[in-house]
Amino acid sequence: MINGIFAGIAGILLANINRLDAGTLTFLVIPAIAAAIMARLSSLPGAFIGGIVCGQIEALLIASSPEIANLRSAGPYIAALIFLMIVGVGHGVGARE
Amino acid sequence: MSHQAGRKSPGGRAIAIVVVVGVVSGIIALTCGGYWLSNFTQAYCMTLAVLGCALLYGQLGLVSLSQWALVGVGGWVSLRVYHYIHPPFFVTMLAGGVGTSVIGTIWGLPALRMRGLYLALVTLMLAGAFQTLVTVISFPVGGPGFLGQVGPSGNDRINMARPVFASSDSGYFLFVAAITVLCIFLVEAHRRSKPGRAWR
Repeated sequence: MINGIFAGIAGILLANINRLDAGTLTFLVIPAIAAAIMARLSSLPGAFIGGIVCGQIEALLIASSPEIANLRSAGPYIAALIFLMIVGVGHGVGARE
Repeated sequence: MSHQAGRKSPGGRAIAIVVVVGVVSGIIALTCGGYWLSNFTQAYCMTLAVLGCALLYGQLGLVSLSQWALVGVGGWVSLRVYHYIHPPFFVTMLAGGVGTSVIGTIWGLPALRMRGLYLALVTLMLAGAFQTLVTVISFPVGGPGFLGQVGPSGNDRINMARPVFASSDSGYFLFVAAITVLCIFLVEAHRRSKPGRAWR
């Protein structure tokens, strides 16, 4: 229920600046996961910072060449992957024993 | 008890798989029209894709959520090879498999460092990245250049030809069924091989 409340509030705020369609909203979950992974799935402030980093990466890619701007949606995944490969998962959820 | 019996007679199990798939596929090929044949052909194709997932989860407990994206990678590589050199269907199919295995190996590098929820999320993100990439570059359809795109009308697009001996809908369905059985045997053979047993 708490999860639903947060999702609903996010949807209402988002609807004011972004068109609402099922495809966009479904794919929105993947950059959100990238932000959560940057926080190692265990830190709310980390997820907040990760979200801002992901958003800025996308914004910077939009401002680059048109060919790269078309691939901007992949930016957060690549950033999260690089983060995981460099920093690792530590002792967080899913770490290999 | 039946599980033990299955272990004792792999040959009998293999015969059972061939007979069941053969009889069911034969009935479908003889009785169904184009629409249902297309549906069942797609079902067999998805069975092939799921085989990889089942092997990973069953043997190693790894949850991969990017299997459908890897299907897309195989399709892209096959189409690229087909439109470059127009090889026979089997060569095109093998090229897709080999190309996907290379991409899949690179794709699987994160698995060396993580598992469980992290691995599932990472593979989901990779699938999302592939979706973004393929939306931009699209699949090759016989046009010039590496990406092989044609004009916006799409009138010049060339479809990949079916094998000569399976040009009809029912023939192609039976061909896909045979390939599915072959791949089930490959998975079974791997499970029984030394590397496969070491995975458990």
